[in-house]
Amino acid sequence: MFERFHLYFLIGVCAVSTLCLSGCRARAPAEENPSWTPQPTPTATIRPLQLVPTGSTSLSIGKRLRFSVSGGIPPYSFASTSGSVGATGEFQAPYHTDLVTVTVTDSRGAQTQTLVSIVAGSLLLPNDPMFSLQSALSREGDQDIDAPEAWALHQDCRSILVAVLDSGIDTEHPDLAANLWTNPEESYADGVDGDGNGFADDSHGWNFVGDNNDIMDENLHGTHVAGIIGAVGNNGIGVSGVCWRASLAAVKFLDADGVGTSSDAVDAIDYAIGIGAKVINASFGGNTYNQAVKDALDRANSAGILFVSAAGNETSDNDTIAYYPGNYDSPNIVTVAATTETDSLASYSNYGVTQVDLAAPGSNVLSTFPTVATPEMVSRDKTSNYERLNGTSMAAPLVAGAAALVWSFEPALTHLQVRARLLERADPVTALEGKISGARRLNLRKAIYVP
Amino acid sequence: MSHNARTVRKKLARQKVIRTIGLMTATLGMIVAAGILSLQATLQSFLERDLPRPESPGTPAAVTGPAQPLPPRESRLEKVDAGLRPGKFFTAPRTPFFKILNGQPVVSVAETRPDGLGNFTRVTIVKTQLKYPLIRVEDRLRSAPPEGSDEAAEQLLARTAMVADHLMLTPNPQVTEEDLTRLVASLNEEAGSSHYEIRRTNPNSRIFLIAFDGTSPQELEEVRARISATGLAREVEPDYLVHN
Repeated sequence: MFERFHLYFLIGVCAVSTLCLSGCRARAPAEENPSWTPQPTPTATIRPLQLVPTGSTSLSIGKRLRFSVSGGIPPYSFASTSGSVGATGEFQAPYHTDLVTVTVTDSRGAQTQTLVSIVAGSLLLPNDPMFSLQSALSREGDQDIDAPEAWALHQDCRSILVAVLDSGIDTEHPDLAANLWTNPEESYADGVDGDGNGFADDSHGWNFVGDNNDIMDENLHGTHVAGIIGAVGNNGIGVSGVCWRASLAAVKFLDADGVGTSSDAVDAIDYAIGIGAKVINASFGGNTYNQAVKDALDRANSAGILFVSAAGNETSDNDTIAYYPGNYDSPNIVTVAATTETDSLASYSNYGVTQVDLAAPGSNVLSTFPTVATPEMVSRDKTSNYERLNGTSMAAPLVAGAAALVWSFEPALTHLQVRARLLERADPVTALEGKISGARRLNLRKAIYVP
Repeated sequence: MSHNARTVRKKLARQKVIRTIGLMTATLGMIVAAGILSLQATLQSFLERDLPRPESPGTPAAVTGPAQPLPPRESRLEKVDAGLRPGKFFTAPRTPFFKILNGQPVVSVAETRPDGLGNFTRVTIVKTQLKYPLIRVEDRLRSAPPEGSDEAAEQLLARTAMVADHLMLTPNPQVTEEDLTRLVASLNEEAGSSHYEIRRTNPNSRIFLIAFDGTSPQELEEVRARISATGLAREVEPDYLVHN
């Protein structure tokens, strides 16, 4: 009798406690991005923009003055490098339009700095023949990112190493080869790990799929993404990237089908940290959480790396159905949705007022394709060296390129300040209200400088 | 009425009371359990990763020595005849990247029993051409037979894919590679096999890929629980697939 009573009692208690326990264990880890907090823009060395006639500025402090110039695109030539009160420092710039910091030192050693704009026009258009087809960068109307307006001030991102975590990059592409990062300590294919980072002959990056230094893109995705960030600009060939001159490291961890593993993603992130990348583009993802990836992102944050992540293409709300790596709650992540050519949220784009930080054009984005047709290209019947693709995968590299451009323009910024700059100075777009945090679309010109 | 008869009646009455209390407790327990199950199932239908995720112990139980013996663990998964599902599994990809699994040979299949809402999990091990060929696909499904139809229809709620034959292990800070080597050796000894191995290490991240046979749908969860219980790992987790 008592045995039976105990049996019934135990069945009930065990069922409740087991289910309670399993319920607790089955809970998904909490992934809540803290709401974005705007960082104050540093203004210590930036004085109000002084618009002056092309190539000249007036300076009036101290008794005897010496001029020097920094920023912008060298070389500059000064007509005179010293003078007295009221002297006019004449200098010429290699580009029609540029923005430089002029430092004036008086006889007592006191310095003052003035940001000087040399304005010959408000746009700088590259001579790349397909540029007119790159509607994400520039088009009639106000639905683009104002790239020519930005280029009027700055075009060179070479000082900022951008790691493209993807399917590799076509190293033979004429519009990309000159912008590939070259590891200075791995110049020779000699089988020796010159820089001692554990990866022998990683001259332009590493292949974590094959565990070798063959970074050639066997899919198409990585080459397209790389071209959006840094196809050589103004070289009279094909298209222009956000950065005319860039430093792109191919960190290949997606295979010919565009598929990879979390463990290789961890290795790829750590590799990017090791080679000194400042920006990581992550046009990949999935719906599953990995603590190891989160830990790697936190290491990247500690290393001062900005991590730009695509929001995903499932037309879903990332606040409800998590999409990683964009949903990891590391402060260095910018999660990017895609807009159309009419500045609305693209039909395929994921969204989320908490989890998605920014939008950028992602539809009909023209960029580089591998020069040797891959099976994926053939299956899509896209075998040209330049093709259009849709996706948040295309929106993210516009933001990654913008980050590199901003950062190379103002090297003193931290990665979190660059992030804040991109978000704060983006264009408000009504159609994005209630869809993404801040309801803004990238504006490259404003990200670099707002008068 | 005799004294004996009264005693027997009293005894019977007492037994009835005890039986009633026992039954009521069990019934109450079952009602609460069913309620929790229903609530959990509803929540889980919105989550792709619905299988239990073992907690990481705060401190290792034993850094050295063999793995701690565990009581036998009964899997929630039950074997299903893979031959009953020719081609069906891969015809409804939730996202395009799952197309890569189409047409790949199924190694094994297992399912959980449906809950009160008809939700269940199916685990399929597929052999692919990927870097790590054995892929474990976890589908969260709902049985939804069309009205008036005898044929069972299934609604795919969520799908995840991961490497089937290894787990990512992030060791606790004081744990060394030698400790993990000993762990693998003890797992092999216990299983009487040589399937377990450290497949890969990453010195920067301190991630260790612990490999095993992986052809059984039950194995990944069992190995995960087993390693978690040793206290050597800060995290033991599946190596999920990601895509562009």
